[in-house]
Amino acid sequence: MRRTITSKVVPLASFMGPSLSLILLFYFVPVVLTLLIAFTDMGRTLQWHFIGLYNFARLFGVGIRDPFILKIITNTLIYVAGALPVTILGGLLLSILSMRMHRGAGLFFRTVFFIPRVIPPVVWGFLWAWSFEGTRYGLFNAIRGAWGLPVVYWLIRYPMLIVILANAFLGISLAMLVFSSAIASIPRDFTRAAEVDGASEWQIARYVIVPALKWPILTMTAWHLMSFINSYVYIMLITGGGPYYATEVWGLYGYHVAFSQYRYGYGSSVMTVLVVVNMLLLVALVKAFGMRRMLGRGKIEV
Amino acid sequence: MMRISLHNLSKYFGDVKAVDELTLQIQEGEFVALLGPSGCGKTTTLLTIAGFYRPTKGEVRFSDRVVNDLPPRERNIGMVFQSYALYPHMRVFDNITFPLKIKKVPKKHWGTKATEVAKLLEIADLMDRVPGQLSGGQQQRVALARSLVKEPDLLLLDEPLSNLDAKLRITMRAELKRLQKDLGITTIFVTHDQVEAMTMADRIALLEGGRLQQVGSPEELYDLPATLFVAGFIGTPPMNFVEVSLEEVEGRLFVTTEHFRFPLSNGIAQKVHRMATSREVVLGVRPEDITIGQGKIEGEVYVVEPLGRDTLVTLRIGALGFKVLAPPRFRVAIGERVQLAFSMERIQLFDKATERSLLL
Ligand SMILES: Nc1ncnc2c1ncn2[C@@H]1O[C@H](COP(=O)(O)OP(=O)(O)OP(=O)(O)O)[C@@H](O)[C@H]1O
Ligand SMILES: [Mg+2]
Repeated sequence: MRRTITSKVVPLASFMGPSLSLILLFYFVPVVLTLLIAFTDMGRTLQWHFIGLYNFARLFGVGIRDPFILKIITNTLIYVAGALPVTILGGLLLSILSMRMHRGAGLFFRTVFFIPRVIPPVVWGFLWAWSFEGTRYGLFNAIRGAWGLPVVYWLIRYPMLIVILANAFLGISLAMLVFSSAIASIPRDFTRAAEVDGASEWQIARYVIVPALKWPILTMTAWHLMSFINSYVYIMLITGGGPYYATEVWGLYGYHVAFSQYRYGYGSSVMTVLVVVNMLLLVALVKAFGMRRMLGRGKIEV
Repeated sequence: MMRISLHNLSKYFGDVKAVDELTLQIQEGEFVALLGPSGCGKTTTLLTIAGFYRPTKGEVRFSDRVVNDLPPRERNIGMVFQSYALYPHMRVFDNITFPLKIKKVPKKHWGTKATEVAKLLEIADLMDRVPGQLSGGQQQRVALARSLVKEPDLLLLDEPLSNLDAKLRITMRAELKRLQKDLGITTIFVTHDQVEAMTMADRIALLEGGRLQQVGSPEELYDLPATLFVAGFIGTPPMNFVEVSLEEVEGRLFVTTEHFRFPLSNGIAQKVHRMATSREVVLGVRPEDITIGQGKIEGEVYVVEPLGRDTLVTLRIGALGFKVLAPPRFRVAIGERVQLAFSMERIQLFDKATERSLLL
């Protein structure tokens, strides 16, 4: 008995040990540190005093309140509610179109939409920032200029729309990849049966393809829900959260509080709330769909 | 109802000639089987008729109209796939009424139409189940119901019985044949099982390597196979083949081997005279056309297999093996020497080089 345990533990430890210790070092340690700092008033000087729940009281408006919090929460909700459906519907639309197209055209199409996944985030962010630049040097303003139209201050007039699209575009590229491979595994006979029965492309998509993609759609929705709740990188690169908090979402606010205002203690408490929200969401999703089914191999309904 | 004609129909996938120069006329209300071994192009032919493949060459005509460029959805075809392709997320009722929904038939008519076909196929009590809860035979009938509910002009069936167990297959064979006759819908039925084709079809088109070998009634293919391939493919146990030589002695034609020699009947000799280009031919004799216990040919019993309805006896004539169907409870011992005779009017002769029948 003893021997079998050792004979299992030793290889297990040597295979999983390195990655486990990395996860410990770069994930759990920061989380625990954040959690601890959240209960202090640590600032630019890195000196700290334990101040109990003061930071959280401020966050939740108990006694003293942070005047931006309500705006931040609203922004986050609008942002997620906008980016998530655009991602899922866009991914579905593009994957169905590309899979039902001529093979070569479909492949080209999928490759083009996958580009944002493989270029560095900074490049992607600046690409959008430059495209919607409010001067005549921005891409869209340059195009307008060529037609004799005046410049539009895109990032001031439509900041939320632009950050939603920039992030959803990235989401779409992943969703499209996942949906396309799921569509490829739907037996040809299903779509052929619908076709001889007279179904149009739209009807085939609606009655045959989308129902078969139930699990990939659920998985991608859960995935992007979590990813959008935590987004801040592209928003920071494109609008920096502005103009005047118009696109400041929760994650970005935590970043700004900690690293622009150097209020490490308060910033940590903002982030701690995000970590807790993530955990609750994860538990809820696993409860709802089952871990095995969500993480199991990319199955489609056959 | 519709007449179908295939005119020099070819479908190539790169270098693979899946269907090659297929010409075939199918009459209104006819039940035609596309028969052939795996990979001979049956499914490809069916999918081309349905419009999923565009012919590489040649034409598909529906009642004189060339439909090469007509998309499947405009052909009013009912199709049953080998996998049945029932939509797994829909109840049986929704599966059956799917074509009606697509055709925008008013919802109030769905019930009557679905019940009508469901009664016909005896699946009326399964309407609320999903396909996952059905047996293979039930799924097959639901798939058939779905293809019939829209009253198609043409019914295409791709190996609809191959997923069923042996017993159910025999039942469904008869059911399907009766149903087709009652409804009178022109039907093309794909199978690799010659018994299925023989029992069900009005006519059989036998394919091999993408080429049509012979088309005709089951009796025609059985009694006068056009090629060696047809002769070997149709019939169980299969026809016996022996390489023989033709000899002309005093105006009479003889078949000779080192073990036996017999004269051809006048009728057959005349045809052979007209057709034969060489003395080297292949003799074919069906197991039921050999009688044990009489005749001038001598053989030795190799093995005896009682089949109940008859007895399969394997004989050796020198190095040649012959299968013979003898009466039930036929008693003969292994190793025993017996006399045998061929039914002279039923033998087949094929050119050894071209493998074509000399009797057509
Ligand atoms: N889409 C395709 N691309 C390339 N080759 C194909 C394609 N479909 C069929 N073939 C080839 O064409 C030939 C005929 O195939 P087909 O499916 O028509 O055979 P089949 O008679 O239906 O056989 P089975 O009884 O196994 O179903 C085969 O050699 C097959 O490999
Ligand atoms: Mg096939």
